[in-house]
Amino acid sequence: MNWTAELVKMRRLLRDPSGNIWTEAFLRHLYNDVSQDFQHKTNALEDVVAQRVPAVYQFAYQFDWEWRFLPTDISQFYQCLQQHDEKVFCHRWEPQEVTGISADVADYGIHFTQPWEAYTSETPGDVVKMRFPANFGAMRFIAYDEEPIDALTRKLVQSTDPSNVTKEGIPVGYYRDSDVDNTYVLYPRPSAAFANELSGEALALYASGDTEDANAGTIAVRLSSSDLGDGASMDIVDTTNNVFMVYSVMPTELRAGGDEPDYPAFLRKYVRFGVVSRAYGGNNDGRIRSLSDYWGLRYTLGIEFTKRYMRNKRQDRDYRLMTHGVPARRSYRHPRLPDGYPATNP
Amino acid sequence: MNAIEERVLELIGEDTSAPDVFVDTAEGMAPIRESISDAIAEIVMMTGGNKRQYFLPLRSGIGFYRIRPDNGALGWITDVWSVTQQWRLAQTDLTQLVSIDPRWMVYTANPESYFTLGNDIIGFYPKPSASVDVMELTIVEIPDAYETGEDRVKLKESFKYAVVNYAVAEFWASRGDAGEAQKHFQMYLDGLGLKQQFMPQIEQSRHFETRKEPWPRAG
Repeated sequence: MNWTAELVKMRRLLRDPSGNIWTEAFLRHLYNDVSQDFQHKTNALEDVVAQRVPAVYQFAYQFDWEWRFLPTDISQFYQCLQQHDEKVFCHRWEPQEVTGISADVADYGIHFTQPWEAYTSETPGDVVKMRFPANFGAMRFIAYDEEPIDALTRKLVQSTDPSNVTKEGIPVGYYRDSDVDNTYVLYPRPSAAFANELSGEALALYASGDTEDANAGTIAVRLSSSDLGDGASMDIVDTTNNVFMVYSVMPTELRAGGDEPDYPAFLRKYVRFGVVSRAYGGNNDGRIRSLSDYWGLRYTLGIEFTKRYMRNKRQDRDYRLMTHGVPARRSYRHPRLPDGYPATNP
Repeated sequence: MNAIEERVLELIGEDTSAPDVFVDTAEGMAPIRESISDAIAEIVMMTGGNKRQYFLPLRSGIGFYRIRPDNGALGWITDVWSVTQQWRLAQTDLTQLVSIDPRWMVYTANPESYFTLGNDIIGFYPKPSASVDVMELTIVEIPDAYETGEDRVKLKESFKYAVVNYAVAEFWASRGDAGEAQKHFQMYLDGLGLKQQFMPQIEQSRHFETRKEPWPRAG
């Protein structure tokens, strides 16, 4: 059920089927806002992704002004090379040239415009940036090649390893590069890559058999790993030589009628209730406080119900109470009388 | 038109034999059916009443599987049984796995425990070493919305009165009568036995009160 269907349902509750009072854009704005609020309060959305190394981007660009010419409504893109003095440079000695300094600083290696070029047998002079999924909220778990890796900082990496840019090996951690670009860097740079599987002419984008989910901004949906049929169908998440991450999701904003909300169908009604409550509470011709309060109550109850649902998901767990620092089971070697026995007068 | 739909129409003043507004067509009954389906989904979400079994054939070396039931959405998993090993798998989670074995994704053997990720992914620990076992999953399935009056309504019989009140509450709310909607929604919560659990937190602030004369003040 897409945004158009959600809109019809909300307009019925608002008694405004033709949109005479609340426009589609206004309700969509509220819907996106309430979706975020619902996720903040319930943490109902969580996802799993296996990312291939290196990340594959549709486009690379250099200058900031190029962004406005990119189809940024469908995906994210790689800003390559380095900005300096309204120019873009490849090598670290180039800023010296333009500032009239004759010395040339030694560079670490080659530079690239697409991250997969870092795996073309030369030592790269830049870190290889990976990209979190577009709907990434917060990390719950991350592993590379099936082994957990730690959250690091650039400060920690630079402080402990002078050759952190060029070091190659099995990653032991990752650090965030930019929240705006949604990028992170694996440290050290993985030596294994899927770049040698790339096929096609000129700018090869995908390994054979993969497709790209442009909207989600994540790559490598391997169609051949899906079992479809009667009963429960399943996707198989491949974790070998991939970054595997479990993360909480920030709901993707709806932009057009065909967009599908991230929430499962049985939770979407609570988002609708929140939207209707806010719409009735807005300062316009449709303002009715009693209905705003009623739908607000339904939204609040929906949050409480969803929290209980999240607890229900753990109902098969076997819990036992333990005190921190105390062994799980005390071993009594000898029979022992209570500490207060025998009672004595002070 | 099923029995629940007829009760709803009677309560909102419709003639069930010749309805005026909610005529007995897919389009005419859509608002009522959506309300009833929403109520059923909410009840299953809270009580876990609608269960179903699925069989999941495991593949060698694959630890994660996305489950997409055909008839609804995966609510949660209540039981996992290994058909080959004939043992029940314990539920675990990422925190525990990382704590007991940082290399939990590496080892392969017969799965002994399972965990869920997100809305529809199940993981097994250890991951299967061969493509031989089949897991018998008992899941709470949140049913898809029913479409016609002849479709099966997946609801415990005693909850049908609550569902009627849910749909009537939505009717009154969509007609602009918040008071009547509130009354029927509270009857819905009463029918589920949830009013005491949820409503006081929202509606009432509990406090002690005395009707004694106030303590006389000096002067």
